Amino acid sequence: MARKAGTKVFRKNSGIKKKKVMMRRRFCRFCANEELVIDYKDPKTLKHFITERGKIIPKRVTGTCAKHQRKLAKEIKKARVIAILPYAGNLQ
Amino acid sequence: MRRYETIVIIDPDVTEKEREVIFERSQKIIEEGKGKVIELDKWGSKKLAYLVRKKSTGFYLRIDFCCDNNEVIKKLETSFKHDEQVMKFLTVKLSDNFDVNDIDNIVKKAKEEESGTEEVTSTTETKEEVKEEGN
Repeated sequence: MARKAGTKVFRKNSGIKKKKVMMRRRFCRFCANEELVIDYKDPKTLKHFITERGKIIPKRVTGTCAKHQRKLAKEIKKARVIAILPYAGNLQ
Repeated sequence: MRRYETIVIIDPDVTEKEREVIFERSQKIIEEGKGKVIELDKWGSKKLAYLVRKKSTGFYLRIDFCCDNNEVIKKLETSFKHDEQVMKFLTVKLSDNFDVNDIDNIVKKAKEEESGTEEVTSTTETKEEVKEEGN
């Protein structure tokens, strides 16, 4: 009996721990730091918001606010046109 | 006036003289349309993110200009289209209401930045000269 109770407690604890990890706060980088400008000519800042494959990362993952995500997507697409960022495939 | 920015990717194998022909031609087109070139920024040859015409590098040129006439951009883009040395180009509108009087300030700022870097290089040059004299 004692064993069973012990396992139950362990399970509950592990469940709470997982939730805490999920609740980590995300924030919009462009709202926090107003000096950061979203510009299609500068791949250094845009690189953080695309995957290795060149896909745009959704805002639910990066935490960018809607207003800045809209601008980010536009600038990333412009950067792709002039071969600063890839359409698909790895960053060189 | 509207302010625009055009980025042109030129073939990396093109010689400097041929490149300057492209610069001068685009400047002419803008000035003929009563526009003004604010800045002609040469980024130099850079790596491309993907192959363009089977080439992995390209010479980047940024033309910052303002004009009222829509046909200037049409002419500019057709000139790039017909030119085989130009691999890619993109024109972006920066602002709708742009004061012509602001140009001087922008040019001054750019010059100051350039002169700042030039001063650094000049001091290194003088140091080298002094060393040579000492020897």
